[in-house]
Amino acid sequence: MLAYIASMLLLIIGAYTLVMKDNLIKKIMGLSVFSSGIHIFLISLGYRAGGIPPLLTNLNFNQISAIMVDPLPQALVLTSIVINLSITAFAMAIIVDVYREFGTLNIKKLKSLRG
Amino acid sequence: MIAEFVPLLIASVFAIIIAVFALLMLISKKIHPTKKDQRKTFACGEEIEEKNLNIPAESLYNNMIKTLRLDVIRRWHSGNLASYIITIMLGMVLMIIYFIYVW
Amino acid sequence: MGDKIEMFSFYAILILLASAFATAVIGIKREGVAPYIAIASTFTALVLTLLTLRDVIANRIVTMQIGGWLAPYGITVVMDPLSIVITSIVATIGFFAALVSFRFVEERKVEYYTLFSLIMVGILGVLHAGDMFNLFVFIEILSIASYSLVAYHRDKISIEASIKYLIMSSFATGLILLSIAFIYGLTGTLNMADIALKLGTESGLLPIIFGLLLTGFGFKAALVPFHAWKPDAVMGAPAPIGAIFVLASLAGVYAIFRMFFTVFFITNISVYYLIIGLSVATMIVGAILALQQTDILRLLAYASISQVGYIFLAFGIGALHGFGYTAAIFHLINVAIFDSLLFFCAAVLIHGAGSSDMHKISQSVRFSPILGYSFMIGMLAAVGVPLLNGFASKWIIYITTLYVQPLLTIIALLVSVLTLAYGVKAFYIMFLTNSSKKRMRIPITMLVPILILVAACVFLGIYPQLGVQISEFVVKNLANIFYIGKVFGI
Repeated sequence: MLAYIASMLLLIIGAYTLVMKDNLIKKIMGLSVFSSGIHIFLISLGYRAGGIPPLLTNLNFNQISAIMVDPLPQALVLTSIVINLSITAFAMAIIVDVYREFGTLNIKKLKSLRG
Repeated sequence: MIAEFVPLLIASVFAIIIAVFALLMLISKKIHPTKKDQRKTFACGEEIEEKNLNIPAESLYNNMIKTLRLDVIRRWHSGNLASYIITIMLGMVLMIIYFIYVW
Repeated sequence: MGDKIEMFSFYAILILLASAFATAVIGIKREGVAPYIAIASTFTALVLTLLTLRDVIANRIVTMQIGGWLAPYGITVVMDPLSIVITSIVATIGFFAALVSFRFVEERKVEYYTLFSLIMVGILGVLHAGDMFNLFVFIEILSIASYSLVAYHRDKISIEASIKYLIMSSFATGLILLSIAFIYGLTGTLNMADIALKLGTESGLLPIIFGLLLTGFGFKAALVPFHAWKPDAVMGAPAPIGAIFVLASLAGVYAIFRMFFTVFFITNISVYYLIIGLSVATMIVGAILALQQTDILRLLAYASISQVGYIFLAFGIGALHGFGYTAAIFHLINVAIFDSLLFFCAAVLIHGAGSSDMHKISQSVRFSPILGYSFMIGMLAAVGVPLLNGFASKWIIYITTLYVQPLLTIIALLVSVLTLAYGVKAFYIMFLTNSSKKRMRIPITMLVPILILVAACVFLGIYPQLGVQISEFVVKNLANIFYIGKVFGI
């Protein structure tokens, strides 16, 4: 239950920062917080009360398969974290170019494309 | 059975008509070649050259767009990133409300 | 059932991925090799896709389980008639785009061709995906490659377009991941066939899931409340990539079709009413805004938004009248052909003039009449003039909407008139008020794809039975019973 409340809070904070803040770097931070909300929600789906990490040693699958937490959402979240990392890295490179071209990081000054 | 060939028939009729007219134009150009009109255009006291006589291309539809007030839509795309994201969120929320009401 | 059929078109994805890496590595030393690697790999992808097309026509659905792991546990790659038709078109036009880029791109070729191969990997991967997470990963590959391509020219317009597109697109694909989370929580599986089996239609979360998925995929397909990125992104990107953006939008349309037909087998009519409403708004907004543009790439971007609206109108009508799905698939094929033709003509024009503003183009270079005729045929195909392929699919749309609701026919006809209006405007400014003296020869690698696409337009216009046969072949196999059976190996 706590995980769902935390995830919803992170989603709302991330979306608010993404829309309302004017600085480009704060928008990218908001994007990162938004993704964290989704990841926490996804991981908490695989939780099992009193579970152990899904690590197989010496092929003891039959002993731990009933009490281990679900490894599939963890794989999904790892993939998504890597994707978001590369998007953030690329966004930072573009922001360097934005500063070089426009001289400012305020989104309200980037108004040459309208219509 | 004939229905299979109807588009081909109509296309060949079109092609024959176009070919006949092109042939007619070519023959008439060979017989009597056209010369450019040497007179200048007279417009109420002054004379206009050929190259200024074109229809204004960029402002061709501007009158229609202004009277029908269609340029409001262009002003909505203001280039402001926040308004674009708010539009996406608003569209999503309205869609979800409609689905909850209907499903 | 039967012996194992090898899916050749999946190897096309692997070959394109390998060519992306090869271009990046070899390009450090020799820059001139990059275009040839891209052309060779897209041609190989085209050949492999045509081989799979022959297999799918023979066996109706071809699946492949990667690594030998069986269906709900492993990754499945599925080619059913809907996927293979769109994949053939995408592979062909990708090959043509590589040919047109050969002369268009002069500097930093290694960067361009690496990103080009990656974008083709993304689009082909979306079309091959058999489970939701592969779909998400390939959409992200497509998106990241396209962010970089939009920022290719490194001037003010490209940088601004790229950062805005990046922020909006990450938000929208995050919504897709959220809906995948909901689906996993409800059913415990990610395989599309398995979700179709396990998802009951009376779950309370289905409206939210479906709304999020429509938002995410509608962003990629540029439906109306989510279309704001497309004109800016197409304007910043190099002109042959405009055609690739059309293909990416068609991949988004394919993803929506997959959601509707295979994963959630929607039979509720009100959902289709919403699709019709969105499509009407898309057609009208695209056409009206295209009238007011002075830049050829923005005009063509709005034109493609408007034509995708026609596809959705036919798709929404298909639930109410049997023939609408055929019209949607046929119009999808036609949109791919004539929109790519228009973008390639624009690429030739921009290559000659150095700028994409229509007035600057009309004052800088005089082109041969072949280019003028090709552009005119592309525009007339978009309008729906008889003897061209747009007429055949639009005629079916008019007739089916006439049976359901004549108001929609009137709207579709009005949007066709508006299409003629902006087509005439573009053609008039660029070709008929051309006041320059400098002539330019069109390079042969740009001319051949344009002529082949013009021939395809005229051929499908004269012989529309071919298009209707292809669409019927797709629509007959849309019910997900065959899909689920083949994936589980029954």
